[in-house]
Amino acid sequence: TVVDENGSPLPGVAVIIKGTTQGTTTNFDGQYVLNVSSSAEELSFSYIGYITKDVLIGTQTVIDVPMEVDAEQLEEVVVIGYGSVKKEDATGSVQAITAEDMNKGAITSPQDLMVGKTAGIQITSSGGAPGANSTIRIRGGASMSANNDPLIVIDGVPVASDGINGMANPLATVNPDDIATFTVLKDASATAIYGSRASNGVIIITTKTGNGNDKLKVDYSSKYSIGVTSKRVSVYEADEYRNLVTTLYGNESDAYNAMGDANTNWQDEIYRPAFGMDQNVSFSGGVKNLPYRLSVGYNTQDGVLKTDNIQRTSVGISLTPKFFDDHLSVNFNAKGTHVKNKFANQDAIGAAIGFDPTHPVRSGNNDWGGYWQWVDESGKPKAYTPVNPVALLNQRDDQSTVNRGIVNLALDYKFHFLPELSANMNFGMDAANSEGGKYTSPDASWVYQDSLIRGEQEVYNQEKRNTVFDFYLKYGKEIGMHRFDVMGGYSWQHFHNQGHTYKNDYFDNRPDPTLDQPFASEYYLVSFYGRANYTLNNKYLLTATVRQDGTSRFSKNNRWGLFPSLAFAWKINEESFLKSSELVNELKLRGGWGITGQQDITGNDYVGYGTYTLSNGGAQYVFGDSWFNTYRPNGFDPNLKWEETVNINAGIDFKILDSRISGSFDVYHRETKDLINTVTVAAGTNLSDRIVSNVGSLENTGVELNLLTIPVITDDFYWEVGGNFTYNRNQITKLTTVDDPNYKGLPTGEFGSGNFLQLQQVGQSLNSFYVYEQVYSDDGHPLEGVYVDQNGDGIINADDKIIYGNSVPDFLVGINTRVSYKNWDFSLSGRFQFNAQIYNGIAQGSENWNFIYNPTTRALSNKLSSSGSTGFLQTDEKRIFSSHWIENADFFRLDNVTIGYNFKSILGLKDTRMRMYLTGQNLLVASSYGGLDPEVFNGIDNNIYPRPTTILFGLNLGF
Amino acid sequence: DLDVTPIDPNVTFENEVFETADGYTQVLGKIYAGYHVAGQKGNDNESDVSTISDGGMSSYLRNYWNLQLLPTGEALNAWNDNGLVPLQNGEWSADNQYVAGMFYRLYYMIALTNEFLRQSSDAKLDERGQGDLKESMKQMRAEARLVRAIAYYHGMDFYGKMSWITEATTDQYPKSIEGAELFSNVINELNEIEEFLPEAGKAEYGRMDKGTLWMVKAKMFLNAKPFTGQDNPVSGVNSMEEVVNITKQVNGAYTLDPNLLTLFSVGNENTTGIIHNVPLDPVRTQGFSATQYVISAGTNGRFSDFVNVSNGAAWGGNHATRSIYDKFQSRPSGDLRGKTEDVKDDDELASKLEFNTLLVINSGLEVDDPLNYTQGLNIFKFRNRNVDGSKPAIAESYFVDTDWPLFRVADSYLMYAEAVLRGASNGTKGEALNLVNQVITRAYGGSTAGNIIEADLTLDFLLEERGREFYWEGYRRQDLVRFEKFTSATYLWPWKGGEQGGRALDAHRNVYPIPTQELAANPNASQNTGY
Repeated sequence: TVVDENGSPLPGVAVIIKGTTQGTTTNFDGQYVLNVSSSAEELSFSYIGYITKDVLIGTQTVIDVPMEVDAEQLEEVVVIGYGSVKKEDATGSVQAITAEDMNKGAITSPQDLMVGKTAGIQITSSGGAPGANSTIRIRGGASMSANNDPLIVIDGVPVASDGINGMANPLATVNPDDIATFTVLKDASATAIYGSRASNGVIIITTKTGNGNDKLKVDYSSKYSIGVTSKRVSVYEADEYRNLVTTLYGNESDAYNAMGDANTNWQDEIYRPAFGMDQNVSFSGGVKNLPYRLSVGYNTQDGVLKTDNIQRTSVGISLTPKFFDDHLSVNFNAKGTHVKNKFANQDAIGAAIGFDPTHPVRSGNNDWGGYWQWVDESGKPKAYTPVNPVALLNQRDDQSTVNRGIVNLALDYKFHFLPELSANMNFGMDAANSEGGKYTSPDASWVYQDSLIRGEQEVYNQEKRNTVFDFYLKYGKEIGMHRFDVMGGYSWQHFHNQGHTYKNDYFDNRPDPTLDQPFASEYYLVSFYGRANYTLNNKYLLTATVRQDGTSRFSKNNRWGLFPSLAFAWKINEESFLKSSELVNELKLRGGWGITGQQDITGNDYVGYGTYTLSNGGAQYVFGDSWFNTYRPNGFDPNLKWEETVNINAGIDFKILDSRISGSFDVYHRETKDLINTVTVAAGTNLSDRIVSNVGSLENTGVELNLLTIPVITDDFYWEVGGNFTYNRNQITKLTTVDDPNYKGLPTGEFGSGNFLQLQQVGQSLNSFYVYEQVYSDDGHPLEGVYVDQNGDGIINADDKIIYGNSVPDFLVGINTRVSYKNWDFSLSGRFQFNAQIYNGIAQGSENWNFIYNPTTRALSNKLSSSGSTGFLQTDEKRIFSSHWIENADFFRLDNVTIGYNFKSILGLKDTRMRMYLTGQNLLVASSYGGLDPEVFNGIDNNIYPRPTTILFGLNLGF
Repeated sequence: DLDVTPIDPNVTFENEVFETADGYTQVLGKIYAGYHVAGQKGNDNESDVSTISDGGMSSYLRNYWNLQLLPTGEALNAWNDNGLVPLQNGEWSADNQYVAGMFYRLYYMIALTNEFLRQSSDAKLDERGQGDLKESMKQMRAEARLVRAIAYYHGMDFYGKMSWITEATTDQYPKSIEGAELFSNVINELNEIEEFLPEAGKAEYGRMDKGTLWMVKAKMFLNAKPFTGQDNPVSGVNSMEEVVNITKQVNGAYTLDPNLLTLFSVGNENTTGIIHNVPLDPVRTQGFSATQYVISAGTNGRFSDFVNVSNGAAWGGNHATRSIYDKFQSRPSGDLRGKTEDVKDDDELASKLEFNTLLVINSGLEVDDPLNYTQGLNIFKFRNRNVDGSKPAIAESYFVDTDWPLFRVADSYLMYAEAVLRGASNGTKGEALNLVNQVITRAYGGSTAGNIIEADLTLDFLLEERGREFYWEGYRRQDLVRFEKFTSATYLWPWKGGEQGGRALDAHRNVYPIPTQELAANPNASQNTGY
């Protein structure tokens, strides 16, 4: 009998005579019978999620084995599209991250669990706000301006990558504590089964399920955290500021007289230590063949910016019964989340940098909510003056409520008459709704119009519904040394989105229908897919997949796309010359080729059609005396079609020295053709100056290495060190249909309105900065308005702009280590980024002495305390494009350090577990960057919400 | 399932739009609306032009005004916005976002017109079974082509060259044409459509007629020399004689409104002196261009009640050097266009300002700092008030109700005079003097105190008179270029070229550069000389 860690029988354990392929599996009661020849020495017991045990047979006839859970081993089986495969049989580049490997700490959004954990994936949060959105890029992103987000599949439901009004991050509605694994599919042979949505990789998220026939298990986890801002933007303090104003304008000037006598540090006024708490309880086990898991979670997280908070309550149910002698497996998952957001007014971040430090937070009177503001002689707010940052926070109430439910029912039926054949049917639904409102107080100075028009309100709601139906047949057969697995199926998915925004310039509910803006859209994806695996002698593996996708987004002629892939693997360790090797435990060579597609153009479901937009009541026209709404024909490309990425991947998976060193190494090349791109067209040739079209090609070439070593493993002491290394270089290979040496490229990277800082240029990396090279004085100060005349024609114009680095790092390195000694454990993880540049938009805006005093509004503003380094005074329209603002964005970030203690039991109670731990998050960022944080997704830093440094205490109980 | 139709209440496929005659009207209305409103929603949201993502910054008449006035000293902007300061300092480059905003708006109007013309062709109407619309479509198509021709006229003025794109063009990368070729194309276009337009002064409100067409044509011929470098590229007739012929027609069809203020006040759609009005309505056209821009950017909180806009609509941006004021000092007193109040150090300014005050000295006539709105002159030529100074009944006070005069008959009078002075033999100096004096008499409130004699009627006088009549209406740069005084060192004004005493500009600045974005997007585009 084989039992699990609790002594319950464990069915389905593979029992194999070591060194042979002969074996059996345990039955429902964990029992097994196996005839062994006398020459057999050892039996090997293996089961997913448990440590494989080898037991010497000797003279025993009954061998009872207790299995031990091993999270390490969970990754031995990996989920792939429409099924799963043993890791050792995977032919594609697939990386699984299990609960054990995930980041610990104050984590509100699931993607944060996997930051830095595997090669080839870059996750950048948009800032430190709780629930902030993150950008995920797998292998650098295959597209230029089509959606570059990977496809995310949660328990069989492919979900939309964009959020909902009132919640930017769609994954933040999933409780991280419920997640069992992330599986990252990177190359085409792994992703092609998802066809048109697979170009940017696929992340499959599975949630935890109940275990077999277990008795009730209760797990409780609890976390408390506090986060603080570790770095502030350095601006002039009040006294320095007084000196500067006196020096620049003199002590009899209007500017001097405009100063107050307070000493206010505005950044201190808007930031605070942020508290967070997370509580999770789960009940799991099995009742009469019905494995179940029920979880309830509650999370509340403040932002370091005052008034910011997110609260999430989540419930998850998983039922995984089997019927008819296990012929029918049912997998039912339902997750429900209720999120309440309170959004701080992030305008306060920039305002705190720019607000004059010599004035107090409160004015001492009751006007404008009691906040000090720039007012005129009659006490009315002066238009276009800086706004008190504290008022911005406190006089705006911005809240949303988001509900989301993801339900999935998967039925897998093995035919009674032909058990090799099974049918799988999957129904899934992901539905979300949100409602929210932004209310600005009627006494807020910055929205004041006149005695009648004050305050502001914006109310919105949105509903999104994504329905999926899948059906496939699977057939597997082993004949001698040949094994075939074939599957084929059909998938239908519908995305529906509708909502309403309503804006009103008044605080009260004065009806103003001109500003009511309802919207709705939908699209369909219909697909046929199939996959065939062939294994010869358990050594040579061949996988072929094909998918045909149809989307409603494109016009009839361009609607269908075909996405094939082919991959092979060679398990070298199964060859006779390695089979008995002590050195090499596993060695597999993989190679694959495939084509994937992309059709996701965020925000436009009718992008392939000529549409007309009706104007609203505020944009009418009149003929005679009748006013009417106008129709605008929208620009589009009638030939818009699928973007296609051709992927080639080669890799090695290995385990050597008793599995002490394991890892994988991949090299890839991806070329995307017919890039879906928002391009500036030659003026007048389309109905919009920028349209979505198929333009150009892009290559990504990269190397990935994942490595895990276990230097020490004894009964008491375990130490592992892991690392991952990513090199990715992308290059634009084509942008126009005809090669034209005069064609510079596509401007991108908009900063402000109409200022494009970056250029897509053939031969260069995506989003390369394209700027004027700043000229410096001998003592190193930038000379205002002086740039290098690159072509020497005596005129500084666009021809003198040069490519000046880019925002995409060439190298990413993640490191992590885990040590456990007796009951103690310790883990650490961190990341490096190399060869990336960042545009310091904050310095560009305020590293100058320009308009410290604005004579028109007669108001003061503060500047960066480094402003003396430029001394820039006048405006110069090229200043925005100066190379001076581009800095090195290399960094090392210490993401996570955890120290924990595991108690054998809770106060000595039987069958109980307890663990306490302390985690520090974002403890250190080493970088030469002059701004707050060098990690900004598009490389253009424009008032980032500071990422807090957090200390967290956690407690886990299990019984 | 893959055949979808939009479920959004605001989005429709082409075939549904043109099911009824209204659809054609709604698209033609969109073309006209493009002068003021930048997008399909109020507040210039859902903007038509995305290279300049801020709707307000891409709007037609706002950019037109900035590009025509900021380099001439007739207006200075105090916002310190990236791009505006170089315009007034004579230092703009191909990176200037306002130069790009104008450029893309002009081509947007061209593309929009082309789409209307493709959708309203006889073949399309037959295909849709709408043969009965063919007759009414003739006028509508001519109107659309007129708007397109105006875009080419403005483009020729600003950029010197344009890609000639019509409803039949399919080139991905069109080549530009310039000079005589571009000029002839515009004139030919105007000639072709003239017969289909309503008679002068007969179009319904909001639409254009022959009067507008004549004004465009007269402007083209008047500027033939600066536009093409030659006298008349189209025919053997002297351009100035063309101007005289055309302006005679205009002068016969319209009359000067005796009350000057009517032109710049709420209700100006009813004046006889405006040949085409761009309609503004505080509720229905919530854009930040045209009169809205000129009023809002020209006032700050101190004067917001005087022009009758709310505090938030008082943007405190545009002011002016003393040059407008000075143009009235050499003339007999009594010119209402130069009615100035000095409210320096005056807390009671509201009671002091009379409703017909157009120029205000706020903190001093000299401008030491162009980025200080209060210095120099503040200009209140346009106001959101009725002609008698009373407030209009409408409650909305952010958006204004005053229409924008695109063409005025007074301009035709002065063009006639200019053409005669420039040698047109088919006009008379006597008629020229008569027309100029009519304009002056109106400015003096009906008095002839300011009238001039034939000897005074010189080109130099006309340039100054145009400055007095049309300041802040978006004429100045074109006039100065035509008089060859825009860049020259012989005609300076305060802060010309960003220097307090004024300086000459390089001659290449007579036209604006082609925006960097277009040079990148169109390999057949080339930069103007000097940029």
